[in-house]
Parts: sequence; C-alpha cells; structure tokens
Amino acid sequence: MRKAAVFVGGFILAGAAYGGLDAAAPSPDAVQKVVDTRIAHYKEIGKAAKSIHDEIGQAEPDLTAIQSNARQIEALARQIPSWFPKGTGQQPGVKTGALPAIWEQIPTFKQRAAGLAGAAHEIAAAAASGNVDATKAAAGNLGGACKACHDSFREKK
Amino acid sequence: MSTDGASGRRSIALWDLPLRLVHWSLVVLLASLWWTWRAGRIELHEQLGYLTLGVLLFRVYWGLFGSATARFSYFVKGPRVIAAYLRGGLPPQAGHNPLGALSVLLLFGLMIAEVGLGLFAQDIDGIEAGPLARFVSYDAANAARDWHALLFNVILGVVALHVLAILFYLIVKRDNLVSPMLSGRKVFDDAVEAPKMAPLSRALIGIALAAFLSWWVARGLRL
Repeated sequence: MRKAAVFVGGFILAGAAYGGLDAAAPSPDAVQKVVDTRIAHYKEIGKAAKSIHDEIGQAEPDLTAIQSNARQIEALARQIPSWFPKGTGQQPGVKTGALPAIWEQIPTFKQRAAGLAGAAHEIAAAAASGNVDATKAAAGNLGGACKACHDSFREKK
Repeated sequence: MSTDGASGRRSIALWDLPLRLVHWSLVVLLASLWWTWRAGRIELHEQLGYLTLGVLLFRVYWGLFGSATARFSYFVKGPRVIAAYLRGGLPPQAGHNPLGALSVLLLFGLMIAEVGLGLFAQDIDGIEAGPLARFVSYDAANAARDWHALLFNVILGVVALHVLAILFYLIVKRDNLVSPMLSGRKVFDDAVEAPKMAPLSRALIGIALAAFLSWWVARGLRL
C-alpha cells in the first residue's frame, strides 16, 4: 500500500514538475518520497549485482540465477531516467546524493543508464549461452558501468 | 647482568622481537589502511587488511605460545587482582600491568572486530566486497561497511588514549615505555623476575599458521 502511495505521489510530483508548476513547488516531504523510492530501486540493483558477484565467485556459478539477476538489472536500468524527475535534486529538507549534473547533462546521464542496461544485457546473454568464462568476463564490466555514472552524478560519500 | 646486592638493577629482555614487530607493524598498517581508504585504493586496502589479519592472528598464537610478557595467561587478570594492583598491593611484575592489560585486550579486540567487519563489508554498489560478503545478505554487508567505518574512529580514540597513557608515564612517572618497545630491553630492580622468552623458531610456526589462515580467509574460505 505504502509503496503504491509513494508511486502515485511520485507520478503526481513528476507531472507537476514537467508541467512547470513552479509556483506550487512540491514540499520537501513529497520530493523525499521520490528520492526514497529511487534509492529503494537502486538497492534492488545493488542486491542483484551482489547476487551475480556471489555466484561468479563460486566454483560452479549458477548461470540461471545470474541470468535472472542480470535481466532484473537491465529492466531496472532502463527505468533509471524516469526516477529523476526535475526538481528532485539536492535542496533544503531533502536528503539525496543526486548531483545537479544529472539535470544539467541529461543526455549523458541517460547514456550512462543505458550503459548499465547494456552491461547487464551482456551478462544475461553470456549466461544464457552457458559459457562460464564469458559470463565472468561480462560480469567484470558491471562494476565499471555503475561507477561510470556514480563518478559524475552521485555525491562522493 | 651485574648485580650488586638486594637493591641492584639490571637490564632484562622484556618484549621479544615478534611482539615488537607486531606492535610497530600495526602502527604502520593502521596509518596505511586509513590512507588507502581515503585515496580510494580499495584493492590495496584489502591486501593490507589481509596482512593485518595475519598479524592479529599471529598475535593470538603468540599470546598462547609466545614469551611470557606476550602471553594472555601472564598479564590478563581478574577484577580482584586489578583492584589489588590499584591499591599497590602487588609485587612488581615485568610487562603489562593488570590495568593496562584491559586496554591491550580492548585494542586487540577492536582491531580483530574491525578486520572481521571489513571481510563482510561491501561498497555501496554491491560490487567491491570483502571475501566473506558472499555469506551474508546485501543489507548485512552494507551494515558491515557502516560499522567498519564507525569502529575505525573508536580505534583511533583508544589509540589516542594509549598514546596519552604513554605520555603520562613519560612525563609524570618518569618511565619511558617507548624505548623498551623499540629495543626490547628495560632496566628493572633485581627483585623483578626476568620473564621467560620463547625461542624464535616457535614464532615461525605461528607465522606460517597465521599466513595460511589469512590467505584462506582472503580467498573467501576456499582452498
């Protein structure tokens, strides 16, 4: 229920932001909900990435599990641009590591998200082919795809 | 080794070479672990962490089989003995005093916990991870990272306390504790019994054991 409410809130907010209703700027609480939702999505990506790396470390990696996790990352990565409606960056009362650069360089940001989707796609394809070495090699690029975006668009911890 | 009567003083071997190497290597490791983390050199940080694990494992071995002043059974005492020591009712013994033993245990306990947490920790993206992170959930590995960061500051605090205590001994009690930790020797009254030193060959067994265990952990408990 809560998740659904957050989703609806997010869409309303997104609509408001795209509609240019600057006069009725969303409250920090509403923005924070959008931020929290996207953080939850990133955690799903992180969990799937960890599962892939845990499997890769095994003597006999479970390629089916790797494939499904990679597909999940790919699907989530394609949504990434939609998690960042205008007006959900850093501002008073909102805790987020999303740098203003995201909205200043939207094409680059989208390209990096696509890079992650592509990297995940490669892993899924390699795992589907049953080739362990190719899967390992493809998984090795996943971290770089995450980092490529984080280095430019996420606040350093 | 000359003695002149009951009130004589002589220099005796206090801290053996393995113990001193453990001590000073931990000083260097603590600083370099901090630096490699700050500089984002995570792979080097991990390698140094495994080295630290080996040093700590060796210290545990040496606490069981090493020279007297390194052994837990020699310097770790219960509350009654600590109270007697504080009242000044204990004959002097070379090495850690019963109160100082608590800070030794605290510092080593914290360092063991810190290395242990690092083994389970992962970076925020679930990509760079300690070799044991695969045994725990994503959230647990994140928690391990946060605790790993927090505990480091606690260790810094205890190290500061450790250095302050040494300065207190140096300035107020006129007792230099640093040179014995460098040279291994210290001048004591004849009444103080010379602690029994272990042969260095026994340290080699401990080094081999610690190195193997650390290597095994670094490989994620895979042979």
